[in-house]
Amino acid sequence: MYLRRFLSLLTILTFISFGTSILSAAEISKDKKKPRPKSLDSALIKEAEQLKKQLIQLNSELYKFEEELLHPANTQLGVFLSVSRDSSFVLDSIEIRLDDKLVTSYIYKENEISSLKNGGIQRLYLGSLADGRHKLTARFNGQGANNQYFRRKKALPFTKEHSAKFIQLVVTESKTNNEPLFKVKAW
Amino acid sequence: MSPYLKLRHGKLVTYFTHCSRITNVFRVIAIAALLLASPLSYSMPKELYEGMIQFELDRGDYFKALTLMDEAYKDAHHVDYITALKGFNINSDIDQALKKLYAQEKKKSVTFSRKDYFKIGRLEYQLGRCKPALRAFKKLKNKLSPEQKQEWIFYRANCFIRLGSNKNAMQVLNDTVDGIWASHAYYNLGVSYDETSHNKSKALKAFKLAILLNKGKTHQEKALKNQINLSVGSVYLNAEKLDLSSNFFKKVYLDASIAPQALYLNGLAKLELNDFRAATQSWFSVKKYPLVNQSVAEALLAIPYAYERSGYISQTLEAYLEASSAFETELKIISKIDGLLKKYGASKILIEDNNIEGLEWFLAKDVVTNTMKATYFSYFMSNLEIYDAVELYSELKMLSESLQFWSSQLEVFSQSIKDKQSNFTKQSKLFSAAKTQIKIDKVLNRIKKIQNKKVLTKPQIDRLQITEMTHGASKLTKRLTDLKIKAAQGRGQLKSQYEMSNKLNQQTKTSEKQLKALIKKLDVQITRLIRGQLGVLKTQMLANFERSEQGLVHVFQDIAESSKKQKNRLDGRYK
Repeated sequence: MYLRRFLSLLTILTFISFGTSILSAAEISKDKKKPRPKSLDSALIKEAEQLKKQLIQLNSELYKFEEELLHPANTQLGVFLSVSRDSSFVLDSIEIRLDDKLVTSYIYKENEISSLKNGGIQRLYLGSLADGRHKLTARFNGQGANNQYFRRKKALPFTKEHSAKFIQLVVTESKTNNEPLFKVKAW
Repeated sequence: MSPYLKLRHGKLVTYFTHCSRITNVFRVIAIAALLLASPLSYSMPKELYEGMIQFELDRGDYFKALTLMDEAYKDAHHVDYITALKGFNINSDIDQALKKLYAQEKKKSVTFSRKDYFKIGRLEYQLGRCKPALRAFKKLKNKLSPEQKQEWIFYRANCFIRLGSNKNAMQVLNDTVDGIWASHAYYNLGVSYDETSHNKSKALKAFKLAILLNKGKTHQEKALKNQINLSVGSVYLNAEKLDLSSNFFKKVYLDASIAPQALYLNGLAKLELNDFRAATQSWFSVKKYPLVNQSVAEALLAIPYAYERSGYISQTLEAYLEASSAFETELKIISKIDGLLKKYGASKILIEDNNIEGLEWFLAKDVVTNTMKATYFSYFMSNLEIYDAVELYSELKMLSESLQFWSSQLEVFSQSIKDKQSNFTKQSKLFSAAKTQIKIDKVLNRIKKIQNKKVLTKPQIDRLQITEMTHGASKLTKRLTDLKIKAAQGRGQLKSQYEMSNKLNQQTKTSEKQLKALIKKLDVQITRLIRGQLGVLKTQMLANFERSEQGLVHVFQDIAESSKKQKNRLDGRYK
């Protein structure tokens, strides 16, 4: 009798175990047919969604206001990063120096690398800069083809005039030796 | 020193004096310009702006992506907008937006890129609508990168499984596939075959392919591999291929979340093989896992059963007593946690880090993940409703923190604008455009005079950089004109910035209040959900306790009956 009970439990456990998979929390877990005894009030969910929308709008205004105030267009300097789709270079981290002073650094996650390779552009730095001659230095750390480790520096002397300046750092790959190439595009 | 050199030196001195004067004029204008720096129309190149949004969308920061999107972007990239809404769990508008999108597509007023079709398909899949998902995915055939293709195949195969067509799912997977997505798809197909078909060979084939495609290197791959091994073992156990099933259960790693299930089922397989010793060994090792996992409870109850079948009565009694005591203790813990949830709410007890005096036994944090709090938290999170509610809670908390940050920033901004306003008044009193214009004119005149000197030869004019000086002076005139305009607008601009800062501060404070109230309401609801789940666990634990008590009674009855027989035997009637 006990054995029968165990086997019936076994069937239940097997059924439960089939539905649970960690990676696919977002995808597969939706397939699970678990009993859902209680749920959140739909009114509360609606209220939360409304508030989220309101806060997105407010946040957007706040960002714009901050930019206008702290980095007006005539003093603005923006540094961006993009990676070409065919590049096999896996960026670990980047350091940006402006006139030899470290202004920002960033360590990359796997999804950020794939996002960059999919055409995404990351804004690395936004600041204000006086007109005149300056030097931007970017240090790239990462792994290229054949797991070779790279630590490369790219310097760009530039002149900031009386308007916003945007500098885009582009990681590409040499077609001849598959070594990463670091280019700079000034807008 | 020759008179020529003297003269030359004299001219040079004059030139340097001119230069220093010009520099001074430049400096005055530059300082005034910095003080009056007004926000000119901000225009980032389109490519950079769109790339930034794409980056946030792809890395899953949907809130930031939505924040960056302006109306023009939303109109031009409607699919991205809907994707971001779904990602940030704003679901109320999605159906309507998708309908609008399909209507536009039908009228051919909009064309979708490959990326768009992929996103639409994924959206529909996430919304549980497989037919429109398949329609969107169909338009992508042979137009995808190898990485995207794996994901595309996974969604399509899963859609066919959901629609009840394992055959079509198999056909989809017959395409050249590789990697974790394909491994997941084969696993799901195996589960589907196992549930729907009496012939388990198809299920086993799918599971085996899932294992082959799984490299088992990353955390996700390892977790899936464990899951597949458990499923294959279960299929073999149901088919009474006990040795085979045990082999697969043993492959499940002991640090996996499903390890108690594997160990318990392995014990069952051993029991069926009449290997009681191996069965109890397997069940004993389950005891180290938390009792909230039903497999642990089953193992606790299975141990005395195995002893009983082996004829070890005293061990049976001991094991039942141990199980009974364990269930009783867990029931007390459940009651305590329920009391804490009632008193403090789920956010303080489970979600946030807190140090409430006297509750260290539950709130203790550690690098290990098997603390009491972590155990119960994982148990509650296995309920999808609770998971979604806690996800919403964390989103609202993130928004609340963001508002707090802005609130403090805005205080600083307001103060800074106030200072700027007072500086502006001071500087505008000091700064006279007319005087500066006179200075520039003087400089221009002097340059002209130098230029007109007949003693200067062409190389000398070049060396003195007369042209550059003239150019610089004209630039100064232009900047002065700009500055005059800015000076005229400056006061008004600072005033409007100050007003804007105050307005935003007010809005932030109102939103903060609204958010706080909503978080409080949500906490009440999460507490209700979790207490409900705790009630389910309590019922289950009570049933386990009763089963162990019944087992005890059963053993006592057996002992009583056997002692009765012994008495009879003394009478000599049972010989």
